[in-house]
Amino acid sequence: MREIIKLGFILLAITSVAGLILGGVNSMTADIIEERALEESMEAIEAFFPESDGAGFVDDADVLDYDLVDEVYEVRQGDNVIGYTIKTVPNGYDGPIEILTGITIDGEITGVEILSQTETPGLGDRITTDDFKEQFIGQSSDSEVDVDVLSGATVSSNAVVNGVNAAINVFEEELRN
Amino acid sequence: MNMGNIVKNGIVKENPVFIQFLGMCPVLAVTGTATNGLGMGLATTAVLLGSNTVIALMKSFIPSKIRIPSFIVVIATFVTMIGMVMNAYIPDLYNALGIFIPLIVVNCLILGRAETFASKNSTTASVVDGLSMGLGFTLALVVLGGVRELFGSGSIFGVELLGEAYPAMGIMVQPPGAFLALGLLTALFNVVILKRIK
Repeated sequence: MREIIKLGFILLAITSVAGLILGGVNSMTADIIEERALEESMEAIEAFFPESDGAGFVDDADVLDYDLVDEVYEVRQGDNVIGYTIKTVPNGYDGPIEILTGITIDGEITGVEILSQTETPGLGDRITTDDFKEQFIGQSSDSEVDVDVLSGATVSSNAVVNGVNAAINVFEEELRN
Repeated sequence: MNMGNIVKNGIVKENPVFIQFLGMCPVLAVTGTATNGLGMGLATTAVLLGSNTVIALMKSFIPSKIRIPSFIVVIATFVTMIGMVMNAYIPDLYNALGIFIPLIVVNCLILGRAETFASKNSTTASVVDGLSMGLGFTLALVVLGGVRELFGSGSIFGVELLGEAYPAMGIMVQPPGAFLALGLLTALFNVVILKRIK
């Protein structure tokens, strides 16, 4: 009995020290990680809307409750909202894919950017190439997007298409005035 | 045991991949490119170095009845720390390696070294062992990743080598290619390197 208590205390000591160390490292890195993710999104927004001079979160539960939708940014020029950038996270062939879609207030797609993905190297990861992403530019949000899927990477391509369609859907139903 | 032997064991004679076949899950899964192999290898080396050092230091404090849970806690702490640091400072690699970073915890190479080496040898020897085994693991992953990338995408470390005309063998960067390349490289390792050493 005494031994069990002693062993328990030793384990408690080890795990407490481990917990303390992890807490320390987490508090050092958490801000950097969050900041970097935001920075990536902001860079993409700037590329989608070169004329913009600011962007902010849309913090509306109705909007964020939509399927696959993760974050929505309102892009402004002066006091006017000129478009939205919507982050969707569909499932790819091998895990979730984070996609940003830029849509102008008139319903035109200005760009698609892949923030993170774990698709098969050499096949599915070609969704990050400009050739693939540029197909979306200029399409209207009135109907679902139409692009050529990558040969050998149908699932990955369709995942991106689903993500963009989800963005269009929430834009049409909630954001477009 | 002298230090030279520990180094030689880790890199060649008891190479974790080509001889011991430890940690096959990351070995097969992340070696689609040389860069990913290198990243995985270095992350594993860092964990191995940390866990070997701490476990060797604590070996008189940890009762043998609870050594396995204690080792796992130490290893998991290092893995989580390295995961957070990678996510903060090298996000591209962190994203590319994905789930395999947290899974370093269950890489049997690390627990294996803790149990068979660090808990029985001096701290200095354990540090050298951790580095050598890690280096052996890293070298194997880079070679495997390089070969698969070269044949599968015509490049090494992302640098195009074979040009547009080369018909990329897509299978090499997919799971079957991992088994094929590992088998062939192990055979080559046995014939070329082990024969010479013996």
